[in-house]
This record gives sequence, structure tokens and C-alpha cells, in this order.
Amino acid sequence: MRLPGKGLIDRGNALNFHFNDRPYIGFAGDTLASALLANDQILVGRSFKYHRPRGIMTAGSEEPNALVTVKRGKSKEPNTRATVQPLYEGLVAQPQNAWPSLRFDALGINDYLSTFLAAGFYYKTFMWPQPFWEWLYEPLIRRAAGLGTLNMSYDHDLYEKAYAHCDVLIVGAGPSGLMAALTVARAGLSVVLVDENNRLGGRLLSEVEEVDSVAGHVWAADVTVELEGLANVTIMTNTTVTGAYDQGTYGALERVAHHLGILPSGLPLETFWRIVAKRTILCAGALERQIAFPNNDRPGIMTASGMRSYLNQYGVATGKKIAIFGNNSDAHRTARDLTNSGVEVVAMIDSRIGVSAIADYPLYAGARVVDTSGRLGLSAITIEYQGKTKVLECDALGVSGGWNPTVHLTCHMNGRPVWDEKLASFLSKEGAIPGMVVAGSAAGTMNTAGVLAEAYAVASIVIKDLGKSAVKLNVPKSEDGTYEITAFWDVGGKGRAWLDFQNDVTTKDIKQAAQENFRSVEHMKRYTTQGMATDQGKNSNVTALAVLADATGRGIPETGTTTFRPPYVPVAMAALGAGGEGKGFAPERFLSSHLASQELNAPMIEAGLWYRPSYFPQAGESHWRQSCDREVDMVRSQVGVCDVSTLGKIDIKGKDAAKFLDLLYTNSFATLKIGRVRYGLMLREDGHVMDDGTCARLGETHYLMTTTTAAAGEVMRHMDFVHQVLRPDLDLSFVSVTEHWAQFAIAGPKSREILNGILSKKINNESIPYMGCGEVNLGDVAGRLFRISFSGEHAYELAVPARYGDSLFRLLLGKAKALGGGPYGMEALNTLRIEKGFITHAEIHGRTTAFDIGMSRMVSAKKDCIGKVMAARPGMVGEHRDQLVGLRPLDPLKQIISGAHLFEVEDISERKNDQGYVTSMCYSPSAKSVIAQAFLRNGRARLGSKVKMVDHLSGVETICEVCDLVFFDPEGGRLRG
Amino acid sequence: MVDLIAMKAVEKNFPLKIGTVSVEEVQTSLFTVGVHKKIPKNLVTAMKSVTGLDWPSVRQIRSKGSVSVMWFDHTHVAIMGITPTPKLEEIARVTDVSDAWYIVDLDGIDVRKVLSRVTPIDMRENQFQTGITQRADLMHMQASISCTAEHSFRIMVFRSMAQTFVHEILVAMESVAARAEKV
Repeated sequence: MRLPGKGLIDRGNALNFHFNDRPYIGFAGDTLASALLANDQILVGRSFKYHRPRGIMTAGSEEPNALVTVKRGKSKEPNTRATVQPLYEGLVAQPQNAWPSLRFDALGINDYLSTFLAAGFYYKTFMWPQPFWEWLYEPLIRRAAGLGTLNMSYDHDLYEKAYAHCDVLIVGAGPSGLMAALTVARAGLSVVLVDENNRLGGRLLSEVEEVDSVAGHVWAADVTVELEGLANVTIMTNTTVTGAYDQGTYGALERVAHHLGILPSGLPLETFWRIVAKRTILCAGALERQIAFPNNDRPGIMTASGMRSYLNQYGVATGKKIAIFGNNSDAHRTARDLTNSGVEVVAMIDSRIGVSAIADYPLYAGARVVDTSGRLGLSAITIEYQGKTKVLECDALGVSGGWNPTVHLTCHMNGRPVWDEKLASFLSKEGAIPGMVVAGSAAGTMNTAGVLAEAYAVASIVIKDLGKSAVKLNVPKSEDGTYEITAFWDVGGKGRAWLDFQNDVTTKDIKQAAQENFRSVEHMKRYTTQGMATDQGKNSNVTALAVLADATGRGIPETGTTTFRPPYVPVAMAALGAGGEGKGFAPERFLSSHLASQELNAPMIEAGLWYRPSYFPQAGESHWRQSCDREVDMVRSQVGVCDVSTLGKIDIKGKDAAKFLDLLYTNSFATLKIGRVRYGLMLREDGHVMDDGTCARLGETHYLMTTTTAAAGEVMRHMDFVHQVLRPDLDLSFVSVTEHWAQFAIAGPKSREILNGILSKKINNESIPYMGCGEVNLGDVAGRLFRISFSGEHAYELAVPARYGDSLFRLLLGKAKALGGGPYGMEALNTLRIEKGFITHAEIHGRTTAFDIGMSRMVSAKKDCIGKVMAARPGMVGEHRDQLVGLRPLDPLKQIISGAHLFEVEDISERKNDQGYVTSMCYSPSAKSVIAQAFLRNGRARLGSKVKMVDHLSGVETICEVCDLVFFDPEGGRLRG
Repeated sequence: MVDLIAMKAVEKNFPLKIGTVSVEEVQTSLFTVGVHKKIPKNLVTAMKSVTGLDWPSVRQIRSKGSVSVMWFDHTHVAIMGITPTPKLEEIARVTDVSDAWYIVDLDGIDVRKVLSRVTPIDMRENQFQTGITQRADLMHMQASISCTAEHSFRIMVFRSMAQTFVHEILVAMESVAARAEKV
């Protein structure tokens, strides 16, 4: 029921919305919860397990009950807390977990079966027959329980990530947060002030009290205006700090557009922030908790402070006849404010004795609520007063079991809060999060005057700590009342008393856990699911552990709390992973020839983030193998062109460059002549092969190293390590030029013919011999030419600055086509190298040595190199090693499968008989057979023998002949042209 | 004679403006100068005579007209906008990397907000001031980010990743612009 003249809503701006398919009207400034309550819609959902009717319990982000699904266009967002959902024109929300309707829910039958559904019931009951769990019990339980459901379609909403930095992060903009922000900002430090709501002020918006001689919300608005005018302050509203992490880093979820029905193009629905702060002041306030009493979950029963928020901030009376039940002085403020607003307060039931009323309302001191009634909404409560029970008719009940300081963030790095007997609450442990201090109600200060003074004092310390001087401020005068509480947790008696409303956990469940010896609070939590719902038990955990403490005969400090973990509020996976979907998953690296390859319809394969053409299909080719075989034949008989720019290229200069390379490579590069290229092998420090490639000497102190595509980054990192850590004395510099050069392989008998058609100066065997290199010109463009081959053919690699890559590729293709050649892709490249016995990272996969791949002789005896000693360890060489060999099936068309294992022909194909594995295979058009490379135990001594290849996944078995690694042109005559 | 045609890494019509921020591709030469430990005096002098600029200190970019010298990493300084003379190449380890990097200038009041959506580094005006250059992650890409004026930044990423970069920066620019307009 909306009260005239009250609240901070904009009554001039009425908003239409729908809930449960019925139309309602609210106002700008309302949340969905306040608008529903204003329309007397008390029932909003059904509970998780028992499908009990539930209403709205709080007015904040801690809400356990009022979870709804908000529909926006095609998307729908389940489990939206109605208490934080801003109202907008056209909002459509639906209740959850109710069928066929909210008022009549068929699974409400669970409530009548509650005796059988207590904690532990599933574990004990659904144990046999064992297979039934997976296909019967679990699906049934999952269907019956639960909250909202997902859309099951792609989420089109935009989510975003962002970073912020500041000197001081202030979490919460209630009185303490505002005061701290003002103090820190005036000292000239940069401040990020974060608050969950769209308006700053925190509890000041919900209370009737003055600050600095004006209404609290007016003071908050004034301070907000001042802070907004300061360049060193960033105010983040609708933002919740969700977690505290190392090095002063905090996660924060900003709900950017939840107040909009239609999202403008480009606007994210939510932004997940990483905020890095030198210091943090936690001003997160406190959360009110419940008292456990029978049937305390009926719609209409809520926190007393929530009731006050709806009254003072939204101008809503949550009932016509309202009762309040509390164990502390703060609960009386609700009775007072309601009375002063003309709402009938039927009773203020205070569990304490000797207390008095602060306004004109009926007070029952030393009383307690022992039962409630009303099926879809509260209709009456039964109280016990002076030894007698009494039924009071009411349609709303505000409950206050005291306040829990919001210490959650202080526990995110494993800090445990400390019990405070006077407050009957946990307080944060000092220094629990490095760089974080706590102020205000979060630190246990429960009156506004104290909160403001403390915030100022704490902020001043932080300012000094950061080397600045605090500007003297007059702390505004405000209410200086005392907060008095006598702990009272559980009324007891018959009937179920709820603790965790979201997971339907009752006091009976907690007591049963204790009875069954789940006495540790962590065990109790897991046995009962107390505090494990999305609200993390913000209203209920402390009461639950108090009940556990009582059941186990221990005190609350001994019982302790469960661990608060991030996130503080539910965070959509889409927000956490923002920026990581679609193109944001990983950068796409495109070759300069990418467009030209696309025009030739080449399917792309991703390698080291690069998109490389697999093959170039021609008319009539319906299978990649047809294209691949043709391209291989083309290279062997005519000429082929392939973009090899993806190989890592590192420019090395300096007088000690040769020494450095000799340390990196197993073979010598000091002896390499200028204008020549040498193949090199590089080991890790543990002696295994890291990478291979060629290295060209371009000048006396100038080398150009190439790496494999996959290991380009790893090799660069390794070189940095070696130079910075192992040999900082060596005078050299190196820089990646991978991206500067577009480089193309031109391979085949007619390769030189092509080059002589485009180079400014013709080449021959003398000017560029095999493994030679030099500068060349293509018209006005300077390039580099290397006579190297990964195909076994007379081949070159021609490099030009990347901007000319597209042009050169097209030129080369035109020339090649005229000679019966054309482009070739990764598939053909792979076949060509397997035919020739060349290796890739399929073979040097991190567990193989130079000995294993048959390159022991490349480890120079004349010099040291990284990995040399370790590679010579016992066990790293010898007959027991798996050695690289060639394989071919006895039947040339039988399959060999990469990854398949090798066995003796007569052995059973099982692990203990394993003889090795296949690393690469292809169909060789040159050998007219399937061929492969494999690691075989003592393989080089077994050439000519037979082994059995078994692929256990596909069930393929092939008898293979072990053969030499080189299947094509073993003499290498073609290479030398 | 062969006539090779230069092609841009991204075929897009620049400058592009969204909200208050505009992005424009920069065509310029880029050379690295390798150094080891102590920087020789003759190198500092030669650099000055070639570029007209003093040797940059760590994380510093110096500019004069279209010519800049910038700290590039722990062993390199980069020269932009001018081709080093053979004399400089004689005494220094100069490497041409002009085509290795895709370079754009971002300008506008909200430029820091845009960059805060793609890189984790501190974009506050008093922290990332004019004349500072940093190497940082930019949406999984290694980037060089330099502040050339209060609301202007020069960004460099590997040429092969240019399309990803343009995509990401446009998404961030649209987001910041949409925020400014949201109700």
C-alpha cells in the first residue's frame, strides 16, 4: 500500500509493468519489490524445496526469497532479485519454481511430505539400486527443486570487462562511505566510491534522522553533489564489489543497463570491473538477520529494517496491520516510523525485558512469536507473553534478530571474523585483507554519529599512510543513539522454523546435522546446504551457527563461521567471462596473403593463432586429399608457392651474437659463413629438444634466426632468459621481426625459373647455392632470399616487407601458374616434409631428445650448449629409448593413425607391451603408400622388422614395416638442384 | 620491372569517430635500436643528430613533429617517422620493423575510458601522463601504448592482429559512447 507524501520516489513519473501476467503501476525510483508491495502483491514466489509460498524479505541485495525472471525482448534473466531490480516502463517479470500457477503450485505437496525431505534425506534414501540415481532419482529431484531456468539459447546481451585504478577504494556509500570519501577526496587522493544502489546514502535513505541539521537523505544528496564535482572522485553506482584478491585488486559488478527495457546498441548490460587500489575502506554497513520461530517464512514476514526502507524510501506500507518482533533497540525504530506514518502497529514484541516504547505503539516486552498463520500471506501471529499465548491478527511482521556487520570481503583471503559478545555478531579481524580497513557499521559501530566520526578517523589514517595530510573536517552532527541487543536466536517449539530461506533449511535440519555428528560448522553447512544458495546465507548463517552451537553444547566463538567466498552477490558467467567470447577469445592472426587465399576458397587451419590455408581446392575436387595429392605432385614436378610468414624470425645483432647462438644451439654458428644458412637444434635446460629451425648469417655480427610457428614465443622467452640471467655479459641485442617480413616458399624444379622472372638480378647455383642467402631486389622493394627447403625440392624462401606480401603472393601465383604450378597449403606441406623425413613439433613434442630423433651428431663435441650435459644423463640415451623411425603399412592402403601405439606383432596390444607410438602420417603420392613417422623402442636397430600399429580408440590394427625416415630422394640431389 | 603494391593491414575507412573518440591508422617508419647495458655517448649523439631528439629514458617517448623516439623494451629504443642514416646504422644495432606493427592514434575526451576497457594498465591522467610509453596486454595482444597528449594515445600491436585490434577498440568505443547517451 502506497502512503501519500512519503518516500524518495518520483510520483510524477508513473511506470507500467507486468508481474505474473498481471499489469501494475509503479513509479520511477521504485525497485520491482517496492512496486509489488505498493500494489499489495505480497506473494512473489515458491520456495526451493518445499514449494512454500514466499514473499519479499529484505530491501537489498541480500534477498533470499524474491527471485523472479525478468524478460527483456528475446532474452530472459532468471533469479533476478526483485529488491535490486529497478522498475522501468514495460518491465515484465515472472515468478519462478511454481506450476501450474503461483497461487496453486502442484509441488506444494512437498510441504506436506516435509517429514521425509529433511536434510540428509537424499543421501540416505536414494542409494539403491545404484543405477537408479543417475536416470531416475536425480532427474526427478532436479525437476522438483530449483530456481529459475535458463533461456537455452544464445545470450545476445553485451557484457563488458573494464579496469579501474585508484589510491583509495571505498566500498559502500552509506554515511560512513560518504564521510570517508569526502575526507579522502579533499586530501587530494584519487577515490573510487562504489555502491550497490543507484543513489548514494545507504541506510540514510531508509531512516528518519537528521545529519548536519537536515534529513539524512538530503545530506547524502549534498555530499553526492560535492563528490561528483571533484575530478579525483569516481562514483560507481549500481555496482557491487564482489571479491577481494591479491595486491589490492577487487572484482566489482556494475549493473549498467538493468534499468532499461531496450538496450541501446553498444551498451553492455553489465560490466565486470577489476579495481586496483592502494588502500580500501570497507564501509559496507550491516545486514539484519532473522529470528527462528515456527512458520517464520510466510509472505508478509520480512526484516524490520526492510520494512523501514519500504516505508521511508519508497513510501510503501507493507501491510495494513503490522507487528514487529525483535531482540534489539533498532527494531523499535520500525514501530516508531510506522506509527508516525499512520500505519497501525498491532504489537511490538521484544524478547528483552525491561524495555520501553519510543513511540505510541503496543509493546510486549519479554515476549516472543511462537507461530504464524495464513496460507498465501500472513493473517495472524501467535505470541507468548507473560506465560500465555495470544493470537494477534496482522498481515505483516517485521523481524529483527540484530545486525551482522558486512564483513564478507574481509574473509575473501581466508581471514576469519572474530565474535563480539556485546554486539552478538562477528567483526572483521584486523589486517585480514592487506591494505583494507573497515569503518562504520561494518566495523560494528551502530549509530550514525559514531559511524561518521569513525569514518573520518579511519580515512585520516589512510590519508597519512599514503603520505598525504588530511584536511580538517567538522564531522556533521547526527543521531547518537545506542544499539542494545540481547542475543536471541531460536524461539523453539513445534513446527518448522526457517533459517536459510533460499535453500529451505530449518532449525530441525541443523539439529539433525549435530545429532548425526556433523558438528563442525563446515560439515553442517554441507550436510544441510545452509548458506549454500546464491544469497550465501547473509541473513541466516549467524543464526544457524548459533543453533548449531546450542545443539552441540559449545559457544559461538568455538563453533566459528563458515567461509565467505567471492562473489559477494551472484555474478552472471557472462559478466565474469566478458570480453572472452567470439573474437575476444583469442586474437586472430592473418597472413598478408589471407585475402588472396580466401579468394581461392582455401579452408583455413589455425596454427599459433595464425590462420593458414589448408589446401587450395580446384574444380572437380570434392575431398581435401585430392587437393593435397595434386599439390604434392605439383611441387615435386613443377613448382608450388606457400606462405611461410608464420615461422618466428628473430633478428640478432652484436659482437657476441655468434657466442650467444653457440650457447643456444647444439651445433656451431660461429663457423657459419656470411651469406649462408644452417639448420640448428635447440635444447631446453633439461636436455630435451625445444625447437629447430634455420639461422642465417647476414653479416659479421648479424644473424637471422627462424623458429617453428608454434614455438616462436617460447624461443624468444628462452633467449631473453639466457641473455638476462645466464649470460648478461654477452654484448648483443635481438628483436622479433616475424611480423615485418612476409615470407614465401617457392618449391619445385621450376622454382628458380620463377625467381629469375621477378628478381631484379638473376640468380644461379653460384650466387645462391643450396643453404645460401642474400639480399635481393624486386623492383624498388628490397627483400631477402634464402635457399632452404622443407619439401626436399630445389626451393627458396623469399621475404619482403609485409605490406608487399599480398602483391608478391599474387605475383608468384601468376608466375607459377604459367609454369604449371600454383599454391600449396598446410596439408601438402606436411606430406612433403614427411616424405622427406623432416620433423615438426609432432615429433619434438617436449619429451624427446636429440638422440631420440637421430640428431646426436648435431650436438657438437667441441663446445658447450644449453641442455648438453642434461641430455647426456644415463637414461637419456640408449637402446631403451623410443627412437624416431619411418613406418609404412605392408598393405600400402591400410591406415596408420597418428597417436596410435606400436606393439610386437605377436604381442597382446596392452600397455605393458607398448613399443612406441605414431607421431605423423600421410598418404604419400610420391611413395604411393601411406607413410608415417613414429617413435619405436630401439627403433633405429629395427629397420626392416615388422610392428603392429593399434589404435584402441577406432579399433584399427595395421602391420607395418619399420623403415628409414626418409621416403623420398634420400641422396638429397633434388635439394641441390 | 616488378612493381609490388603496398597494402594496408586493415582495409577500413579511417579516421573513424564514435562518441568523442576517433581512431586513425598511422603510416610511419619504425626502427628499433638495440642497446646493451651502458648506452654509448656516440650513440646518444648520433641519435640526436638523426632525430633531433634526446635519448628517451625508461617508459619515455619524445616527439618533435612526426618524428619520435621511444623506449621500447629493456634492450631497445624505437625511432619513428624517420629513416636512420647509414652512419647511425654503422654504430648502432638498427632493425627495420616498420611492417611488424600496426599503429593507430586514438584521440578524444573519453579515450582513457575506452582504453580502460581493453588494457589493465592504469589510465589515470596523473599516472599515464603525456610522454609516457608502456608495453602492456591489450585484449590478449602485446601492445605498445604511448600517451602523446592529455587525450591522445598511440597504440601499436602486431600487424597480423590488426583486424582483431580494430574490432576490439571499436567495441570499447561503442560501449563508452553508449554509456554517455544512456537514459
